[in-house]
Amino acid sequence: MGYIEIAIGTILISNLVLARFLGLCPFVGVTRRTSDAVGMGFAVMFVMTLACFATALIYNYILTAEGGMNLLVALGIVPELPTGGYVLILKTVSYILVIAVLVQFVEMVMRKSVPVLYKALGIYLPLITTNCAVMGVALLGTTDWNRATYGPLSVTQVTFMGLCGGIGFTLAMILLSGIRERLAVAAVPKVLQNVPIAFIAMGMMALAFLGFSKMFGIAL
Amino acid sequence: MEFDFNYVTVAALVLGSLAVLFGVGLAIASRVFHLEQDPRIEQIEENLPGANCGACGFGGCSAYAQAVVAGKAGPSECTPGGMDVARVVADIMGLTAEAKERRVAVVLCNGGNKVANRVDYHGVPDCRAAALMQDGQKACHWGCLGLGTCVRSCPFDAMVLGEDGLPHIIEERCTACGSCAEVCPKQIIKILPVKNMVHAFCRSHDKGGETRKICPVGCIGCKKCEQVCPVEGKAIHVNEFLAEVDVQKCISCGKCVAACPMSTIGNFRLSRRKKVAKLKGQETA
Repeated sequence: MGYIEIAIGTILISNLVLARFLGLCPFVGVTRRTSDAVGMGFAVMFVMTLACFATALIYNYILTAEGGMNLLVALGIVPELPTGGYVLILKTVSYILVIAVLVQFVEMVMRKSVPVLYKALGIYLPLITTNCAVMGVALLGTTDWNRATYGPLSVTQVTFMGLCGGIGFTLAMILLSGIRERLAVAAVPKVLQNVPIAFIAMGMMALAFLGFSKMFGIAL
Repeated sequence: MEFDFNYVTVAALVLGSLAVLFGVGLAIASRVFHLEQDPRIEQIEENLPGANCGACGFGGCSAYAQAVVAGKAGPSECTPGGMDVARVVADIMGLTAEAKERRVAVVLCNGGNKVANRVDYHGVPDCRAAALMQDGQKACHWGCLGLGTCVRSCPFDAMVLGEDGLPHIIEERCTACGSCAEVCPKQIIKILPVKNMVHAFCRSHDKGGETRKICPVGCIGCKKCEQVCPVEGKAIHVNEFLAEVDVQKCISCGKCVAACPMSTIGNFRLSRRKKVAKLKGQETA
């Protein structure tokens, strides 16, 4: 699986928002203005990359031995891994923990060392902790993607997938916010103003993105 | 997967050690990346309404809290919070809060549907857009365009677009933040003290005859109000065919209201309570 295929696959073909329908709350809530959408998009991109890196490490070295060794076995805590490792019982809960801690940590570091970026992303960073798209891309990168066809991904590949997931999210956010900015001054019937018309626009965008499916024979 | 006690212990162990590791890591990080900040900023911010309306002149409640602590702003600048918040903020800062007059937004136009449209407007349904096109679709170049830009801008749901084509203020909810006054392209909304009951509801500087042709309730500049005003030095002045109430001097006696031949000047004294109740009913309906 090459990097170009991962990029095309996660940004266009299986776009997190418009094809997998993850992270819909910020997609509706923060797309009223393009500047907000861009801010949120970049914050998500940043967190997704880090989250994918951290969860890939956990998956490859603690939950399974796909990275070549397993920490639990190496430290003598368990004599040997059961078949399938601890993926089934520990995956979700450990990922949640990692993502929550990561967001906290990133916020702290940013506040101290990059105050400009912190001010720009400030409000959006804590919101991302509960963004299902981040969890989604972490799960996709490690277990839930098309493993049967393409085999496992390395830690760098998963991290790259996280970055591309963030780019895809940002792309969708910018597209919708542009549409909504134009809709805001259009003569929309009163019952459809604001969110309802945005839902219709979102549906049409998802239909448009359906056109990318199976492009170049990639199916993630 | 069959139940295996080993799974439980491993799960507890892995999660427990991860949690301890992360906990220690975060504790160290919070020490290393500790940022010196005046604790009063947080205290003040907690006590502000959090509407981020910008009525104080700063970009949101957090910015205002910082400005207060830095000494750049007084404790009673928060209009939505009123005296209660001012007192708390003053306590935190060790200052005394001075009473700030309660003010509300007043729509200084009575035209609405009574004024005919010059043209049939089908553009962007926003007063600011309409005003760019030859001063809007109304026959009156000064008055309300009635497209509700102010109503949509109100962060407190304190405005309703009435059936008479004019925006109305639900004064109980109005915090005098000034959002509506700012967006109005005709500048017919003013933030005025609530103790002032009498207002001249017109902004038209057109000559009397012209105003009379297009609006049944517009000021024609007849100066009758000026003549009957009992206040020394007059609290209402006609300037370029438009009567304007001097809110500092006006005693709200209502004599000009009775004298006005066009019913331009209005009195809030009786209607203030009734109007609020009626409009609230309209909104829920």
